[in-house]
Amino acid sequence: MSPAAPPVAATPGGRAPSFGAPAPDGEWSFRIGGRIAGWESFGIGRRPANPPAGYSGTALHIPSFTQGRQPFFAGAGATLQLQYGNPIITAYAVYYGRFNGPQDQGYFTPANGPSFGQAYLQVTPEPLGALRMLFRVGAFTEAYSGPGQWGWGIFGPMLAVRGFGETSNFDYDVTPDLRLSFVHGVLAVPGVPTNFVRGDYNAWIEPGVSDYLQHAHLGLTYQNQYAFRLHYASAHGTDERPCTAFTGVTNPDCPILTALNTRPHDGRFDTFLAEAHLTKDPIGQAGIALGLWNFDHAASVGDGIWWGLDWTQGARDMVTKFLGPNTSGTGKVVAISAEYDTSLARLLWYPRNFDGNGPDLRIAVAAEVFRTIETDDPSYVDGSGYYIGTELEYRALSWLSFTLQGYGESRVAPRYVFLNDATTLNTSDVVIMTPGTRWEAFSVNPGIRFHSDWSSTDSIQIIYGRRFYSSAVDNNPAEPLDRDVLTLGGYLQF
Amino acid sequence: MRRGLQTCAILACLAASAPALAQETPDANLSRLGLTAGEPLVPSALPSIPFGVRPSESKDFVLDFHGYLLLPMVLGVHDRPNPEPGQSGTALHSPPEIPQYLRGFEYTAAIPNAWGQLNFTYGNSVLSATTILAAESFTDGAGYYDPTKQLGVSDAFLTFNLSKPVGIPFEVNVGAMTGRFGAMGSYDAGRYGTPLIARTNTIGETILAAVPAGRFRFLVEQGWGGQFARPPVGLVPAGWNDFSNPNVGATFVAHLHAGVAYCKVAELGLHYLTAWTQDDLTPGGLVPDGRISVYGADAHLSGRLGHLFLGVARTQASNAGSVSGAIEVLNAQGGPDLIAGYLGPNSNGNGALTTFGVQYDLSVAHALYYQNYKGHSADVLVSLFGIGTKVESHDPQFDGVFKLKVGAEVTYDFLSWMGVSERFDHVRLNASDDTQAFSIFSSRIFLHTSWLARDEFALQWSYFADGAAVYVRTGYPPTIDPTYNPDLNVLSLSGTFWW
Repeated sequence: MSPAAPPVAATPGGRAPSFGAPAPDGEWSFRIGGRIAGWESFGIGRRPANPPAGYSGTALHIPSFTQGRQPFFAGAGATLQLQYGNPIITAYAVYYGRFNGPQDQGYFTPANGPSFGQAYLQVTPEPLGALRMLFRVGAFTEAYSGPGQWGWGIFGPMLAVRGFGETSNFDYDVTPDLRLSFVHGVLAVPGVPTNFVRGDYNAWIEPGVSDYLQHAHLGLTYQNQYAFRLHYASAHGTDERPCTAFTGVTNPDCPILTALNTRPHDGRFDTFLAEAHLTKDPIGQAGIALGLWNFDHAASVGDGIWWGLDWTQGARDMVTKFLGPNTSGTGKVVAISAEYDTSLARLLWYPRNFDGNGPDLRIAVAAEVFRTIETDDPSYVDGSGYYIGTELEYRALSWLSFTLQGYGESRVAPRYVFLNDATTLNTSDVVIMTPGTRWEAFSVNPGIRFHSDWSSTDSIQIIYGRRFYSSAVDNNPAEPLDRDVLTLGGYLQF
Repeated sequence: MRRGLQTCAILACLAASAPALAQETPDANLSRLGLTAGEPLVPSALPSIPFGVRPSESKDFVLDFHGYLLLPMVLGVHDRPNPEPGQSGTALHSPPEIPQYLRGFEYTAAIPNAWGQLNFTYGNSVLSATTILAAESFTDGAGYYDPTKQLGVSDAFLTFNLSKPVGIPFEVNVGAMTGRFGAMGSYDAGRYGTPLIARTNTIGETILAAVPAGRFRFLVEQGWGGQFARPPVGLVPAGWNDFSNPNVGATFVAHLHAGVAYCKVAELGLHYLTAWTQDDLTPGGLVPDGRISVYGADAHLSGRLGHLFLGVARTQASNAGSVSGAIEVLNAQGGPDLIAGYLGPNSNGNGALTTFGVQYDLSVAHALYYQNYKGHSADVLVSLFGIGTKVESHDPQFDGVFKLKVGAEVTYDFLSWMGVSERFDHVRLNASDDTQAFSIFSSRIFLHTSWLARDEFALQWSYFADGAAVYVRTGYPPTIDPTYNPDLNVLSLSGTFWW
């Protein structure tokens, strides 16, 4: 066999020609897209309390030693998006690679790749009258319900699902102005072996559980300006950590516990969302989304529901952040998220069309408010919080912009804050928070941005960030957080 | 003297023309005071060729792109023997716990495993370079990042097509590449996805030549290579290094193949491969030199009545524990896997396998209509396949064991976009012991975009009927776990596409 042939068995049934068989010509096309980005920030440190003898000067940290949202996605690397297909079927593969060598970041991080991130097949059959269909099969992530114009926005989507499986999409034009959309999908996330050793390259894993989920979405779009959508996702986790581990017989103390120190228990994590968008010239785009997350022993649910609120990753991250670290993983959280995006030039030029090739002030403002309405962690009962953010860009010249990004978050603080990697309460490295103390981090980040044209998809940006923390955040006087941060970065999208 | 004058004249002309050329075509590019970021971090080849030259400035070189994606969602239905409070009696989990270890004899490929590869080839009709990116998982769909499933650049090799200067079909490959011999399908590794004779994973060379003689064509292939590295002494087996065995030495493989083909009707091949290690850097330098040699023959017959593969191989192992995965026999990677799966722990890697394989594929429509059938209408496909191997081992518990697996598959492709199939597999890990046997019944409905489309979307249910002594591997690293109840039912939804 040719070394280029895949090491796999023949296709089921042997119906189709094999990989090495001569291929007919057809309407096939190949496209490479992607994004190359690099961001680095260094933080200007502050003098620690009780510094050791000989301590002097100002500490500089790379990466910056901060808390709260950064005005960029940290790191440097590339994403390649390769697609090959015809009008009916197309294969997509997304390949990730980030700096991971010691020459670039001081140590080797295998999880930075390179790796195949996503791979899926997309089938678009011929429309059946006014019904259009699209089917996706493979390994992928899908995001829903972001109040931003394109589904993401400043605070990101309120739901992302991932795994191996399928998604079926249906669009039906009820009238020329009214479109009805329906999406349904089933996904499974392969589990991690029970005795998998959590290593540095795999910090976020929950061994012994695998999960499967289904998600459904219903949407109405009127005149392509008004949109209303409902979303539902339900992930089920099968927890197979045995209480017979190590001894072979059932241990009443169950030697392998969940990340929340609870006994193995099948779990469930549901998401209910509603969103509405108005996209109209010249006022711009306004989006609002309401969400309810329901957890039932969710420490045993993996990460089939990937993003929730504030880019949390999987059920465990949602639980520890919003139900509290001292919970059984059962509870409920509600949130409302809104964003407004507009262009000042578009407003001023109206009714003439502004095509983006001129000076402009682009404005995005967003806020997100959440409340924990059920939890068994006393610190988080009726806990609430909010996120606020704005991103402004004044495009002065075809190659120069001035930017201002500001972010803030405030939420209930956990009862205990562990310092210096401590994991138990039996240590001096624990700060016991005053009841009612809030975890608050704010930042103001002015910057300058260079680009190759008015509407180009490239950017080089220099940002200065000033950060403000509450005592619950900057709580370790021996390691004070950086409050001044300088960032240089850029990206090219193609 | 005259030659010296000539040289001086040439140099003078070159020196005189340089400034004139510079004035005519001023360089608009920035000067390079160092290497550009895109330069490969390798020593320069001789003669040095700048990496940054645009393909359009180079004659006739083109980029070719191929790929293969197999993307399954697989769920096992598991009966929990002793569910804890809060745990359902039935667990749905992925991956399923079934006796389908890829590197063992029990593997049938009846349940799909994820695989993706992208092949990039750049070159012209004489010289081409191929790089293959491959993975056994996809990080967005997987629960965790397993570096051993991200193969990165799995193959990279140069191909020189010297047919024109040599006068006969003649090809030389140099680089890191995979070789597979005893492929049971017409164009693929067959129903079991297992090369019957051997697989090589080396960096080295292969030379292929064909000599036409009337309707016959005589084929010769030679290859030699070794692995790029070996597990260093002191390496602790762990997940990130795929639980490497530090006792294996640097392994080399030499192989030679000869064959004759008659039109496109018949092909007969003879194969010889030998892999050996003679390494003093093994722990304490006390690991004996090892060798695995394979002698094989296979035949492909194709015609109106389908495609028939027949193959036989004899594998001889001597102190094989030190031979690495540079050679694979029945998907067993080197000596350690051969000992674990066939020869037994007390064999010291000494023994032999006598293996045979058969696969028969029939298209009923093709048989009925022969060349009038172009594949653009309904068809029934029948496939029969099997592999057997007899073990001779110095470990008395494993000596004389005969392993056998057979299967059949019937596919009815009745619409341009739909078909159904039934597959049956029976595996006997020890032919004389019914408790070590299991059967798989698989029902499948599949969709595709046209009659001969290279895509397939399959929904499959498989039922496992296991003998009492059929065990699965659990944990990390996966080890045989006699206490675990294997899954009996497996559901899968898969998409496959290749181009």
